[in-house]
Amino acid sequence: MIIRLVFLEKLSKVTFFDIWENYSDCFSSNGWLKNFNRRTMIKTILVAFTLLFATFVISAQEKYTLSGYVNDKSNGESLIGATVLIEELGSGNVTNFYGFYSITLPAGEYSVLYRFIGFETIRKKINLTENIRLDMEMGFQDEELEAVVVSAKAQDANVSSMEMSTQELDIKTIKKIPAFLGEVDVIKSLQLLPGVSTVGEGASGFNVRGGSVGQNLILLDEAPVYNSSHLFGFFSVFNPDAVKDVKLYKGGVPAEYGGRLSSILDVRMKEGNSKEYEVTGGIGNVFSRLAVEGPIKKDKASFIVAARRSYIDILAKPFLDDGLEDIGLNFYDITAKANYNISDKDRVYVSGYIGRDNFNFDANQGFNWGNKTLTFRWNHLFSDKLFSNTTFYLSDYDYSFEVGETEDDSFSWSSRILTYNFKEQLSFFINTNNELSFGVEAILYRLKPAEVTGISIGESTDLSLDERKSFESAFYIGNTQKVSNKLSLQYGLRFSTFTYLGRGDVYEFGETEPGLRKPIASVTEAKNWESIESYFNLEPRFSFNYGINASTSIKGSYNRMSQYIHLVSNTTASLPTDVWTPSTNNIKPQLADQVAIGVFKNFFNNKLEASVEGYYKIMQNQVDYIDGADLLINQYVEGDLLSGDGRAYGLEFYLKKNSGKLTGWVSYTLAKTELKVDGVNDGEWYETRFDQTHNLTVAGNYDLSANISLSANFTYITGTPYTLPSYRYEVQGYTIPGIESRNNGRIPDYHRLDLGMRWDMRTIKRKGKQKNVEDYWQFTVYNAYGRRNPFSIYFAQNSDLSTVDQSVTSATQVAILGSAIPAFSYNFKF
Amino acid sequence: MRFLENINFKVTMVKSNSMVKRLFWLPVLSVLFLFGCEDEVIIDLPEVEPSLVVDAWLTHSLDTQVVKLTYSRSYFENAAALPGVDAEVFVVDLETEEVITFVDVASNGNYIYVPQGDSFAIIGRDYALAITLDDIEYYSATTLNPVPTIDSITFEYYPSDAFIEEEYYIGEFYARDFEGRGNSYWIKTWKNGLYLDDPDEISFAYDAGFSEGAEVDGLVFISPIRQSINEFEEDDNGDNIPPYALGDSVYVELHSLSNEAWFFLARVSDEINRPGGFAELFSTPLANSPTNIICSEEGKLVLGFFNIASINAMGETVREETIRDVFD
Repeated sequence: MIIRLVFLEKLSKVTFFDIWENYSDCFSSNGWLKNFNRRTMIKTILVAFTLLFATFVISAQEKYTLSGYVNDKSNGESLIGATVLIEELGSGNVTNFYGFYSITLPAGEYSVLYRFIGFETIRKKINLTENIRLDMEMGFQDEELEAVVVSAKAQDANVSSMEMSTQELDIKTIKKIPAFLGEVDVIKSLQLLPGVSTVGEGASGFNVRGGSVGQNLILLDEAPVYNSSHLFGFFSVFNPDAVKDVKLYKGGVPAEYGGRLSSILDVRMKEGNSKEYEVTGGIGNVFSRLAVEGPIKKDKASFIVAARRSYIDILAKPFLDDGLEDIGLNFYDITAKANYNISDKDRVYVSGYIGRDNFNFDANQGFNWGNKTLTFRWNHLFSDKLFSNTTFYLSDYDYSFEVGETEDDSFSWSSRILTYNFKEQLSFFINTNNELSFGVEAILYRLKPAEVTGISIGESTDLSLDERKSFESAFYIGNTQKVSNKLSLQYGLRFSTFTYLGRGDVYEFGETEPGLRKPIASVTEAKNWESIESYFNLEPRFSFNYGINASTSIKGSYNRMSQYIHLVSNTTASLPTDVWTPSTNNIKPQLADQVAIGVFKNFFNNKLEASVEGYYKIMQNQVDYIDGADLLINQYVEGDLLSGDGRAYGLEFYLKKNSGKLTGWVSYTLAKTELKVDGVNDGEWYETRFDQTHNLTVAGNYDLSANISLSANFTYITGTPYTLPSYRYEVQGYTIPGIESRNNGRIPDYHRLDLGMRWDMRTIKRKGKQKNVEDYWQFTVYNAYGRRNPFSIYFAQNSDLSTVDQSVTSATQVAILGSAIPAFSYNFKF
Repeated sequence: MRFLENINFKVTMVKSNSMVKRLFWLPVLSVLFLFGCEDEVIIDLPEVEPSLVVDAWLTHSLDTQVVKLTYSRSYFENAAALPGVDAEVFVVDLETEEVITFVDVASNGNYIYVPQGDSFAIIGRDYALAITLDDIEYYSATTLNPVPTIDSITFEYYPSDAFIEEEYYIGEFYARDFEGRGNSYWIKTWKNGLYLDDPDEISFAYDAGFSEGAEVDGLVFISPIRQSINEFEEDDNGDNIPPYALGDSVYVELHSLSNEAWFFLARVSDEINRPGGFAELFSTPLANSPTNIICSEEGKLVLGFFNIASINAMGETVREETIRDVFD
């Protein structure tokens, strides 16, 4: 190993020390961009390529490729992350997001193992004398054998895989977690994992390792979803009946992903049962759900359509009168996907999502928002070793707001973000030790922050803001390399660029005291498609896995991420009306450098998985706001933004039990996240609104009998910071609070217990026949002991007493949910 | 931007000065409010050094003019503020350099000046405020801006509904913003002789709309501003009182502001309008309100604001002639 590294260094004529020297600067200063000069860039690329091509040189024997797709036998769904292991070599490959694998080996006889959790392991003897295409269908484990099989062949992926700082939840696990109002929720489930948090109930989005809500890239079949919540933040937009796989990258992000600072949440939709028609659905307290899937052409083409709708408005209708007839509140989403295996080499997928939240005050007034996405993908095998995926997607997020009881006095506002993306990704399965991936991505953003018309007694005024166009592109290359039986590496480089385009007014601002609104210095007009400002960034990505023994490994990673579009929000929770703004001549792209290191160990023959990870993250150009920032429909909004640095660090402990009657996990995060902004708190470091020192979750599921399982989860979180007033004074009869610093207090700690029970109905009829319907009841109690968990504390003068000379001030603690919330749902499948 | 904010739902919840805003809550209520709750809590706050507070909102009128000096105190201190006594307080006409002296007649920190036959100020001129207290000097300056005329006040009839269980009227005042950007106003309302002084009743305008970020120039004030003269209160039984009932009177004053004073009011409104409940999800962090008072001693905190306003006022009662149309 050492010899090889020396050899590589010579080849590229640089030393690893050189590179480390340059990289290490970033941990001592924030001027890393400057330090990361062209020379280093070239060196990095050279090393990457040498590492790669060195492996070609060393191995030049006659080789053949074993490749194919791995599917679920029962419904034809491709299996993501199934292991294909060559027993003789003790190494192999893992299926990609489309279920494809490819292994290139010297000619010979091999025994191949196909493994996937919950499925029966398949052993296949092959004689590799030519390229072999072997598509595999895997069946569920026989339940009676489960205990034996699992203990014998449990997965050791926790230890052996390259991935760290990654959380994967399969939809079966998510469905077991007792959920708020019984509605299975992908994003709420993620919040039970280490490093993932939220500011509280009802808040949309989530925070990853000290990042803000707008720093997560949420992808649904590769298309970004700008608002992942229904009803502010109470439910997430993903329909559990249509979701197949959920993966969250908190760090160690592969080069193919970029565009957000903190995390990538990659949600993959089911392809639809290609064997037979299936209808699943459920009736819950909030949603009614229905999904239909089935083959269009057996084993060749399939589809799934899943829909959900809230129905509180329908139930409430009879009770609304006295001018309230037109009040409405509903939210719905429709998720659909179809795929077609054109040939052995080509598959196409089309998937789409439409979701909407509607609030109608009456017939003319209301508020609504929603996402639409459309993704078209084409998988093509150029050869057994070269897998290509071409993606085109369109994502459209919009909201609109209308008020005014008459046409002569009204106000309408709509806002829209259109994202067009083209992506080409190639995976080159070089040999069992190297998997090279490379690709390009081009994104066009059209941000329309405000189309606004205001009418006052018949006279109208147009308050619309300019549409902002921008173009983002990225090239990346990355390699996953097994250096030895003990050491694996994943390294890559992403080169991203961003251009802020006209047309529209371009503002330049003058200097002012930090923390105050910046005065406008000049306004110039940019022509359509004129480049106003450009940025580029090199984003190195690196991870390693060093196996100490079969059950223990050490993993580490470094990655740089950049973010070119920014969520502008100064409220506690993000709002559907929050605007996204591109990087401009005034707003620089956000940058983050993160290092993480962890120890992964499995116990009791992989029955228990454990990991400890530490991370340290430095962020630049974080967006903050002046006091009294005017963020909506403000053409000069850039003058109200501040820019600063962020840092976040923490330790994450995770212990998970995958098999047996009792399954579940314990997750504990010790963390700190801070900002340092000129103009806030005298430019000192201060804790962010979502800083949580301790975050503990215990989640468990116990199979009581064949048809009853019980689940529970407990969460304990340190109260988040908020701003306390220090003094009061009166002006014109109003009692005004005075502040000494932002986020100088903490709300009390948060803890909650949720309970759930799943009761499966009999599957056999009285006469001994198999029932056509599989159905179950789910009962949950959220916040079982009814704790009034504080969301915030606010300070106000008591208005009732303001007629006397002095108003009385008081502090009030708000709990969004103040009692236990029971719920049930009935779910079926036939 | 404020134009929106008032209509935008986050502040919709906050400023209940039109029915729209009341209505907004219902759907959300129906789902969530069953669960939420609030508790008053006691919080220990550190002691702070008192700072001088200057409350100098003078008017172009024959009313007695008051500059009130007090000291800030701990947030939960509910006793009266300590007065700032033994100060010298002057207002200076920056064109003629005429000095008007304000005197603390009752030694209670209220420095007064009684206009003799005519206002001390002239519209369009700049004025300075100068205070000397404990050998420290404080300064400020402002411009006395003109104010448009209130054209009329009308009342719109509403039958009883789910919120107000008797017939009621929504009052509306009409005035047109001056042409040209950057005029700002404060709307003060008295209902049946009582000043509407609740935090959620602060009403101000930038041109004909709510804020400077968007142009709503030269129009009649937009509907939520016109309707900001209504009071939405509950009686002791928790029932909503009609904003206006037949026979009620309203008195509206339109004050001109400097743009800085408008920003001050806008900031104060944000900081003191804390409705709590579900709206806390969307609240901004508590922050300081600005001041236009400068202290001669560097680093010494001074609070408060100085503005001179010209006023246009109109009173009206709910009667047949002022009821605009009938809502069906």
